Amino acid sequence: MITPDDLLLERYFRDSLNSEEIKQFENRKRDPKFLEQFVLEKQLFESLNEKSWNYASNIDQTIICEYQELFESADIKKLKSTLNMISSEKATKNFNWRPFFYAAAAVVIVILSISGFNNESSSPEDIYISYFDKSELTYSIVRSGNTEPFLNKITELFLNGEYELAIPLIEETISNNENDIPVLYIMKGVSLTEMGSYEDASIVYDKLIASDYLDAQKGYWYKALLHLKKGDVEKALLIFNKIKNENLYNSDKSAEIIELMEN
Amino acid sequence: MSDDLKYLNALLSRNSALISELYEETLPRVKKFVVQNNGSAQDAEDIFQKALIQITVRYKRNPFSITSSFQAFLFTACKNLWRREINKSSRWVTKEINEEQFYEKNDDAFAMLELERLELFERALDLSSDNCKTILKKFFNSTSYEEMVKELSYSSETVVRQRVFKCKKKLIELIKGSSRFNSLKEL
Repeated sequence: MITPDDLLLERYFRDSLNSEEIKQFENRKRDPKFLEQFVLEKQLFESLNEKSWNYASNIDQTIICEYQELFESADIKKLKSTLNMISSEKATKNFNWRPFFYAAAAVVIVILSISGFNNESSSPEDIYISYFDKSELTYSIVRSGNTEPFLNKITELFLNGEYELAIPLIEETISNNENDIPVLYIMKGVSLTEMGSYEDASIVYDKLIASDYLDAQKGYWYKALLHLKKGDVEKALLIFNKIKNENLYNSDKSAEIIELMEN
Repeated sequence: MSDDLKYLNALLSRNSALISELYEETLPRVKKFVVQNNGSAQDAEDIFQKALIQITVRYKRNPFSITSSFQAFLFTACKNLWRREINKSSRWVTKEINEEQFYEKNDDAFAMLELERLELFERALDLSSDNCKTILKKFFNSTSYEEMVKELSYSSETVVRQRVFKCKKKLIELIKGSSRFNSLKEL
């Protein structure tokens, strides 16, 4: 049987209480039985909804303290040390020198560019070179067992500047829909930008921006860099200002670029 | 020895070789998931380590068995911990400073209780009929009754609504009937 309390809770969780029902709801919360039902249903809504999380509150503090003591015990501290050691060993073993080389090269370019800034105002192309680090993109590609060789090939072609060969492989991976799509969109956009196909690159970034991916906002940063490379300062500044004002991905770097371009 | 016991004991005895296997087999999946959900590879490593510690503490306090593979269990723990992490900004909206400090100090313990509670709810959902499982998943993920009628081929919103109430009631009975319910209940 559906009770009036059930109906009231249903309307609460569907965000459809009117002002009269809100008062009624607040009154009913004084009844411990209703409150218990409300708390449990709230926990269910927050726990079983994939986009939210139900944080504990009002749990018996003795249970909490008892649990926390276990986390701080000597055995667990030793386990943490073991895990840190394994993690460091793996990081050393898997260290890839190629991105390091590119990062070092990027640092040299930045230093050279900055020294140039002292004598004259920086050109859009200078700024593009200073702030564009394609090896950074390849760090974020996550490989899984069977796609690893394929992604390694894409990374190799991309880092070696063999964009014409990289693009078909990137497109194939995107169409298979099994890997980190946002980073692959960006790699495709960068490849097209480097080949001078600015319009096509712009379309790729627009697709990323319009997507539901959590990394969609990165599209703005790379689109702004595209305009720098193209020499379209006005459009680049428009996007960098948007990134800065809306605190999007690389908002700090965008603020630096705006400052450099306006000086 | 079963697969889950092998890894649980490896964590308790800090067996580096077996723990390394977990890093090799499961961490790449966790990295992929976290990076695809607005995190970094470093976040993934932190969550992975946190999950291993959580599982060890839970097992030490109250030994349990795992029905799936250990790797699947570990991956789910990582996914849930990351979900908890990315929702954290909404956590302190209405809390007092003292309460916030208590939570921060005991964050590991709270995370463990929250994960246990989630598992209790998921287990109860698993015990529900297939039809109830489907309908409740949609209901708790805010699908409208209108959409449920279309997607699940019900004759009307009234029918689907009654079904939701019935399934929800059964789910709550299952949860309240669990021996773990009282210790996870809020005061």
